[in-house]
Amino acid sequence: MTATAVRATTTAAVATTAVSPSRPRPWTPYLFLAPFLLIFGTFVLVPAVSGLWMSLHNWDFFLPDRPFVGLQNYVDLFTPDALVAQQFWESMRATGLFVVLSVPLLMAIPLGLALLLNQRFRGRTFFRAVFFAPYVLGVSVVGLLWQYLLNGNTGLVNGYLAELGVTEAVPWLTATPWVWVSLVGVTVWWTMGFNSVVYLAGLQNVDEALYDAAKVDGANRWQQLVHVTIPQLRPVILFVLTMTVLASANMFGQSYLLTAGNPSNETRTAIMFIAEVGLEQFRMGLAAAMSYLLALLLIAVSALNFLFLRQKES
Amino acid sequence: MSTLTRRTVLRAIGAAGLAGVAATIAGCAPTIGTARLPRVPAAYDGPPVTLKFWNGLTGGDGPVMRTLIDEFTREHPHIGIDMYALPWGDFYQKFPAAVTSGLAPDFALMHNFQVATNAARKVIMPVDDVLETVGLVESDYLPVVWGSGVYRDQRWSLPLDMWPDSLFYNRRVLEQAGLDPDAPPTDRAAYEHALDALASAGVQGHWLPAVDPQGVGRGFDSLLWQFGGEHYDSAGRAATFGAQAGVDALTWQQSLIRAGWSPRNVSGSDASMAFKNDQNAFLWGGPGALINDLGSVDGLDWDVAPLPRIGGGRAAFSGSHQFVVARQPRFDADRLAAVVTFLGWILANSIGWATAGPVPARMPILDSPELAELTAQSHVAEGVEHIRFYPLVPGIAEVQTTILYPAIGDALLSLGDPRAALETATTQASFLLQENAEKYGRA
Repeated sequence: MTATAVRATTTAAVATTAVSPSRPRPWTPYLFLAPFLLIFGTFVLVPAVSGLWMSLHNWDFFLPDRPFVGLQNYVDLFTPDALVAQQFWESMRATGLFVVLSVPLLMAIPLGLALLLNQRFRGRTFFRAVFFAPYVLGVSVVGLLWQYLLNGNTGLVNGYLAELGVTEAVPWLTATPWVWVSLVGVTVWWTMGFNSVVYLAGLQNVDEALYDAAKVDGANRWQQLVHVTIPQLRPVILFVLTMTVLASANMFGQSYLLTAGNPSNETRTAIMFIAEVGLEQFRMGLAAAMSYLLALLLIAVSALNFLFLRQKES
Repeated sequence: MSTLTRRTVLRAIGAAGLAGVAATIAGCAPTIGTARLPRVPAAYDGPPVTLKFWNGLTGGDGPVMRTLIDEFTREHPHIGIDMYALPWGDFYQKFPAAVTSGLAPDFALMHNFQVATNAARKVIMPVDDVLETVGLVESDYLPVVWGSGVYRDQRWSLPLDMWPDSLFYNRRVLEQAGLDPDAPPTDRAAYEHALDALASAGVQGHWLPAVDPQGVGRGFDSLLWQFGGEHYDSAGRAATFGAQAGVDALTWQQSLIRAGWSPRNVSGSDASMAFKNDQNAFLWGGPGALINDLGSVDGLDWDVAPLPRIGGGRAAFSGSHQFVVARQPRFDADRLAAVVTFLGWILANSIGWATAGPVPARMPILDSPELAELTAQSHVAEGVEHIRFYPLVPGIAEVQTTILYPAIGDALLSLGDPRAALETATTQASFLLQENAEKYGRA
C-alpha cells in the first residue's frame, strides 16, 4: 500500500513535470512585457509615429484644416536659400558647437574628480556630496542663479572683477565668445557631479589585483591610469559618452534662460528653435520635421560612439 | 504548436500604433460647432451658477482682479466666478487647446493683439449681439480702441483697459543733475539735452534694454510710429518696418548707446534695477508692469509722463486687455447671461481695475475725478490720444516677438548696420505673414 502510494506520488510528480513551466504558453512573455509596452506605446511609439505623420502636413493643432504637403517640410529644410533652412542649420550649428565644447570637458573633469574622490581621505563622503549637489537643482534654478552672477551690468562676477581692476565689463551673456564660456561653464558645474558618480562606481569595480600586478611590473601612477584604469573603465566611458552627447545635444534650458539665443541667435540651439517654431509660431509640421532630422542625427552619432569604442575593444 | 513570430508581433505593434495615431487625430480635431450665442437679459437672476474665468494676471494685477470679483459676487450672490490665472505665454497655448477639447472656460481676458489670432482659430465668439446688453457705446472709446476688437467685420472682444508705453522718470536723479523734476522732457531736443546734463552729472540717463525682447521691441514700435512708419502693409501680408522710418528709429536707439547715455548689454531687469537705485533717470514701459513695481520701492521718488516726441509726431505703443467669450460646443443661456452681467458690471466699474496700473478704456471713466486721484495713472492717461495698437492680423504677436524684437535686440547688442538688420527681419517677417495669411485664410 505504501509502495502504491509512493508510485502514485511519483507518477503524479512525473505528470506535473510533463506540463511543467519549461514549456510556457507562447504569450506568457508578452503578458509580462505588456505593462511596459503600454507605457512605451502611449508615450513613445504613438507620439513618434504621429510626429512623423504631422511632419508630412502643414499642421496647426488649433486649426481644423491641416493640408497634406508630403515631404515639403523636409525639402524646405534642405533648400539652401530658404529662410527656415538657414535658421534651422544655424541652430544645429549652435547645438553642434555646444556638444563639441562641452563633451570633452564633461568627460575629462568628472574622471579626474572621480579619481580624486576615490582616494582614501578624511571628509571624502562630504566632498562627494558637494560635487554632486548642483546636479539636484532644476535648470530653472541654475538659470536664475547664474543670471544673477553673470549679468553684464549688475552681476556679481563682473562686480568682483571690477574690484580686481578689470575696467571693461565682460559681456558674459551677450557676446561671443563669452556666451559659450558661460554656457559650457555653467553646464559643466551643473552636471559634472552625475558623471563623476558614474565613474566612481566604475572605479570601485576595478580589481585591486591589477594595480598590484602593474606595480610589480614597475608601472608608475600615470602608466597605471593609462594601462589599467582607463581600459577597465571602457564600458563606463562608453555609457558616459553616449549620455553626455545626448544630453548636450538636447541643451535647451541653459541658453533659453541665460542668453535667450543672444547674440544674433548664435546660442539658439536646435531644440530651442524647434520649440519656437512649433509651440510659439504653431508651425507644428515643420517643427516635427526638424525634430526628426535632429533625432536621426543623434541616432547616427550614438551608433558611431558604439562602433568606435567596440572596435577598440576587439 | 503555433507561436507568435517576430513578424506577427511587429505587425500587431504597427497596427496598434496606427490605430493610436488615427484615434489621436480624430480626437484632436477641433469639435467646435457652429453654436450661436443665445439672447440674454442684461441682469441675470436665475439659479446660482459658477463661471470659469481664465486670464494671465499672475503679477500684481491678479489680486486686484480677485478683489473686483469678490465685490461683484457680493452684489450678485448667485453668480460665483472661479478665476484661473496662468502666465500669458501658457495661456495662449492652453486656452485654444481647452476650447477645442470642449473644456473651455466661460470667458477670458486676452491682449488686443491676440484677438484676431483667436478669432481666426474660431475659439472665441463674436460678441456683437451682447454689445448693447453690456452697455458698450462707440462714443465712449478712442477710435483705435473701439476698432481693436473688430476682425472680419465682426466684434470679438470688449476692451477693458489701455497700457500705453510711457516715460517713467526718477525725480531725484533729474534734480541732482540740475534738471526740473516737474518738467520731464517732451521732445527730442529736450530729451537729448536732459541726457547730456545727466551724463555731465555722471549718470547714464536712459538704460536701453538690448536683451529683454519686450523691453527692446516696444520702444522701437513707438519710435517707428513717431517717425511716420508702419509695421505692416494694410493687408497684413508684408512687413514694412524696414523702411526709412524704421531705420531712423533704430539709429536713434543705437545713438543712445553710442553717445554713452545708455550702457551696453542692458537687460530689462538691469534698467529697472538701476532706476530703483537712482542710477538711471528714464524708463520706457507700460503702466501695468511699472506703476505697482516702482510704487513698492521705499524712498524712490518717481513720476510718469507720456513718451517724448522723438520723431516727427507723437505716438506710443499700447496694449489693451480685452474680454472674450469662449466658444462652447453648446451654450447654456443661464451661464451666458451671468457672463454678460459680469462684463457689464466690470466695464462700468473699471475704475477699480485702474489700481492695477492700466488705465480704463472707457473715456468717461478715464476723465472721472476718481482717476485723477491716482496720480501715476492720470499722468499716463494724458498720453492716451496718441496710442497705437498692432494691426488686427492673425499671428501678428508671434511675428513681433519671434522676428522683429530679436532683430532689434541684435542691432542694439552689436551696434551693426540698422538698415541691414531690418532688411533681414523684413524678409523673415514677410515670409511668416504670408504663411499665416494662407493658414488662417483657410480657416
